Amino acid sequence: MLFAAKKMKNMNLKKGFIKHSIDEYRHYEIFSKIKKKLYNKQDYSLRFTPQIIYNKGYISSKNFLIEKKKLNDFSVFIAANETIAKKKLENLNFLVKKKSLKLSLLILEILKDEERHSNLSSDFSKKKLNKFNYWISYKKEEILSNVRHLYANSLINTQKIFYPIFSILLIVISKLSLELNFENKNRSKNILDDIDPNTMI
Amino acid sequence: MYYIGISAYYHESSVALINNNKIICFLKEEWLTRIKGDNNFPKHSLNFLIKNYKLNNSNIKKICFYEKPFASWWSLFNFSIKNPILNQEFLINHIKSFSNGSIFFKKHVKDTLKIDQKKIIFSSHHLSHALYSSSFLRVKKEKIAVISVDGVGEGITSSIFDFKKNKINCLGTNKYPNSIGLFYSIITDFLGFNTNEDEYKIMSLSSYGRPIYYNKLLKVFDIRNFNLNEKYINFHKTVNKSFSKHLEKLIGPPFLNINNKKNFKKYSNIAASAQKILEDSLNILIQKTKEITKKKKIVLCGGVALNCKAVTEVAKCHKDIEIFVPPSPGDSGSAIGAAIFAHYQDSKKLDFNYQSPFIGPKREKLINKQDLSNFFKVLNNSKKNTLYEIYKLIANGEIIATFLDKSEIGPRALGNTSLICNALDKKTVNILNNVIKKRDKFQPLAPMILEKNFNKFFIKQNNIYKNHEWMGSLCKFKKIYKKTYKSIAHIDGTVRVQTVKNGSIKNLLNFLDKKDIKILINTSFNISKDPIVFDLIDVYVNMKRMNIKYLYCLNKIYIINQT
Repeated sequence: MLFAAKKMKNMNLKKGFIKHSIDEYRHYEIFSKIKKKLYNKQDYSLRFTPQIIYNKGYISSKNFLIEKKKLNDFSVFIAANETIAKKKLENLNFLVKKKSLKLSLLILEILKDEERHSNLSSDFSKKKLNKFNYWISYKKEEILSNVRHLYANSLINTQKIFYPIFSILLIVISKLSLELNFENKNRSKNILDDIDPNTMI
Repeated sequence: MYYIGISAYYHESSVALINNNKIICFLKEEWLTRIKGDNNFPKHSLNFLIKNYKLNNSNIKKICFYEKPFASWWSLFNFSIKNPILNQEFLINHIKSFSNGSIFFKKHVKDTLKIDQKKIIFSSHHLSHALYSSSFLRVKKEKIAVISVDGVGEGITSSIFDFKKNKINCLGTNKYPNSIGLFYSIITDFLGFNTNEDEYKIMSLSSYGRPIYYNKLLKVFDIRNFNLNEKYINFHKTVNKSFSKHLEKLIGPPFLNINNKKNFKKYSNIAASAQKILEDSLNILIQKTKEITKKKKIVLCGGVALNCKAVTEVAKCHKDIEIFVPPSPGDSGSAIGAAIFAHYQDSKKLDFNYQSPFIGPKREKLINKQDLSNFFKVLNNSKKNTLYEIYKLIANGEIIATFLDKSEIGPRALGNTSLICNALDKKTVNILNNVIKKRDKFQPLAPMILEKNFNKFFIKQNNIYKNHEWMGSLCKFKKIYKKTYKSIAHIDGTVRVQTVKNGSIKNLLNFLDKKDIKILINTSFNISKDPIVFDLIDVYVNMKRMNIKYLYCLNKIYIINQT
């Protein structure tokens, strides 16, 4: 959203994307607050490492979404994903409500934002696309988003399926590795000349 | 002709551009992607440089990566593969990282820029650290020795270099996993913080404790032999937890809630013990370097050198030498080292001398005039009155955001991308630290002062004085000021002060000095866990998020447009 804001020349769109990105930052803060209140510990599974969103396939290191998609497609993407997020948050809210009513109210705040984002985006794209094209694009984004979530959620489990194959492979490599030696050779008095700039080893 | 240095794939990625012995620009990928600690190939930064400096195959002489990719990948793999079943999880992850890691650096460059593949070269990890760090000292290179200490790079965890004229002799190295940097990261993980990111919090926390776990932790890291006991480590087995159950048996349960008083006390004692082990290890390294090289100037670099508390403590034991730490001693600064290495390949000379930590892009390039007029209003049009307006605001307890000249290279904001307020205003200082910046309660904010005023307020430790320009070491307030400035001093009385020598921020401090405001608070312009702001839209978004009204930029004071 932030990058979309930076790219936009139309001031109204720019302001809209800025508002959206500020909302998203606020959502992150709310989630952090919920996490802090619900859990008493700080172990690995509860830590947020920003880098992980690349690994899970939510964003690409190659380009920003707004660079890859046309503005219309981008707004359909927002409309579809904000609706999916809203549904997921409703499920989360159901669980959080049982533990704390205060925290549940915070999630309701996010839900309102998600609905607003979704409506604004779908209104914008409906003006630019006819009903059928919008519906097709929306469904496409919905499917892609669900696939992305499925991929991210099953990363650990799918890995385990391949564990036996990896184990055998690793044992073979371990035997081979005994034969390899990349130890540094004797150094002369000038390390600058010892290092071959053309090699990766 | 341009030389480009790149550091990536492990810590925050960065790119440096040099030309005729001058550094032209330095960028961190996280500034552009807004992902804190972004370690991907710095595609956006490289594109920024290509666009702004019209880079192409004909005007680029060499592109250099800061380390040997295969050596780095293989060293960790080779250690863990000795026990493939037990270390399976780490190994699988490590193999997976092969496909998008530094091994494919050439491909990643090629995808961004059409360049002759022969122009892409590779430096060496610790050498890149050393080349960058030495370039910040304006002395003859033969007068210095460099100690590079970090987690691990190419299987080496620390190195000692003896500089000669256009030559560098590597006197010794220590090998993976025996790393004082990794030891400190294990403790960071144990206390519930993010490794490779939150080590500075452990440093802060350590001031609250006593090193009562010192002897126990010596079993984990033997400072005499620089040996990390494998019994207590897990980072070669799994990526999720860096320590083993034996460490839990040794010092108690990990990941406790630090907001609980009892846990805080215990964890600060553990942090203090780890800190002392780090300091003692550095002490030994410096002593050995001193004995072997007989040099009077020792440069500390690598991620461990960011520990300004350790630098200050060891300097007390070596008053006969100067201990110098550059502004960005970690991996991101190594992009400059890589560029210097590339330049050396052609010139065979080590004649780089950089003095300024402000080497990011000029702000003018990052400010769209239309955005500026849409999102901000000028508070006072007269340039002459700008400083007076700032004085009035600061005196009234306001916090000002600065976006001046060029951005800073290191992890610490040095006034050009900062939030500033009056250090005497306790209420504002507390709001800035706890409410706006959302920092932990055990981390006080740091002050900035004109260089000429330093001696009046602080106790000077000559052999680390230069590092104050970029907050690379600590000092203490003089007795008479201790109470007045209590809110910005650490519990142990230390302060991470920055001395200001030049730039727009110096002009401001000079003006405030006449109005009797001698010390300002300076904290980076970002919210905890976000990268520092990069362009005007980031400035606006962050000011909105932090509810800050005033911006000092382009020699004017602006007020944010609330509508």
